[in-house]
Amino acid sequence: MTKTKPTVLIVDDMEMNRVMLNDILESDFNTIEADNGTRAIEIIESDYENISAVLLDAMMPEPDGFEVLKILSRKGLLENMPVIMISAENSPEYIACGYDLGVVDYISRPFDPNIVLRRLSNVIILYAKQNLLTALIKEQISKREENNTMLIDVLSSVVEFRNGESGPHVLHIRRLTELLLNELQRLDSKYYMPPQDVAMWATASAMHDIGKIAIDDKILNKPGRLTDEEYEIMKKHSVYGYEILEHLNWHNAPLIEAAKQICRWHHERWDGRGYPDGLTGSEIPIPAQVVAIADVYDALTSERVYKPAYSHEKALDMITGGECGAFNPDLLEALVQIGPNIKNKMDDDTDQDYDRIAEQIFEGLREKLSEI
Amino acid sequence: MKITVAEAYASLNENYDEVLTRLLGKENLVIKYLTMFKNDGTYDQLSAAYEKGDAEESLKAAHSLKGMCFNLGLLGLGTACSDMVDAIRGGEYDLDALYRPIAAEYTKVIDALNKCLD
Repeated sequence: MTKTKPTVLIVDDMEMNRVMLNDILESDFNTIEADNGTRAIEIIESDYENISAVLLDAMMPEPDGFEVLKILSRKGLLENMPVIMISAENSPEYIACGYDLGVVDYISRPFDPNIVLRRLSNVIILYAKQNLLTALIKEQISKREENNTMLIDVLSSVVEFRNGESGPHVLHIRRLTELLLNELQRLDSKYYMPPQDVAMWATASAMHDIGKIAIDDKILNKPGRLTDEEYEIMKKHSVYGYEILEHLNWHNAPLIEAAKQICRWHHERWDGRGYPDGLTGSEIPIPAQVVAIADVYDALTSERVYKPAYSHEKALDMITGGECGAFNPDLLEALVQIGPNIKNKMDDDTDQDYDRIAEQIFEGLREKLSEI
Repeated sequence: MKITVAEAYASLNENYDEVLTRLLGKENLVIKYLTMFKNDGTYDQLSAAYEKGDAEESLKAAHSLKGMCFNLGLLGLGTACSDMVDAIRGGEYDLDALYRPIAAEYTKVIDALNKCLD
């Protein structure tokens, strides 16, 4: 690894102060100078990635150091870049104000050059470690997420395969569930759920039909209509799925609890005429309702031995016309709103989601750390 | 007649050793900063603001001057500047009474610097 010097931005309206700091830093750092706050912000915005730390004078003509901090904070530029404030001002209120606005350290004049160097190096190393950690955690989480998701998809597809379902069905359900949950909360805040929950429900949705593993082949793959008796057996896949997961003894694992709800209730109907429990309206958990409509939509818009793939419009007509079940009106609206591009959206990859989740988990971590 | 920087500090009753130690024992750096200080326009800004009776601008210039003085161990002038900053911030002040000691200290410092710098 080549050793490059970290870059430090010196912001001070007084030339002598800049020269002094420059003399102190030049052997260990690359320095950039700005003689006013506006210039400093310009430099930071254009060269954010390269600046390891900022030494900021508090007292300058407009915008002063505090103003600069406020602007940087508003632009989200203080997150990964440490700012050390330097001032001849030593009153506690003044210093507290700097800290409140997000400086990591405060150095008063006259300063000892060795101490400036130490504090600067410490801060830079700390931030470098934190940034490295963020990247590492992100990578690990996304890898683990990816493996988990892949495994669930593989096993769920095994069940679907036995059932003669198309390969991408599981992926489509997952993606549709995510799209619908997001659209629902966009339309009405009462459906709000945090992004990591949306991701969890989407993962759980892949397992909606695992109970079919316990249904006899002869019934599962019977060409032609099922008799009433056979249909009653077929309907049991919802409860079977629930029971399989129940017997895993992974109680209180949120993903399993989510999958249990979806397995059991993805054939319930808004009007109470579904199975197995005949739940009505909002008795049915929202994610189970979402998977129910996603399941129907994907079946309609995919090709089957007994039918061609219907267009988005035709599928919507059939669903809103009540030919394929009874659904929550809000959910129907969400499906309409997502629009005809739904198929393309269904095939989108979900990499960004991993990043998002990682980011959120890390935020939580950082909050915890800051409390220690 | 030229005197040394140490002698100039002694004539001002300032502690040269402290400054030299803080600036890593490099006399050439001290001379460089003192030269910059001598040529710096902040004192002129302060005087101009004072002439206009502009307390806000006087405060800013006094603050800058104070920072430089403390860095260079010129505590007499630095303290006079500091008094002005505190008084104006406090809201009750006599600009004349605050400016006079600064002007007197500044003249002494510049006289001393003229003797030791080229």
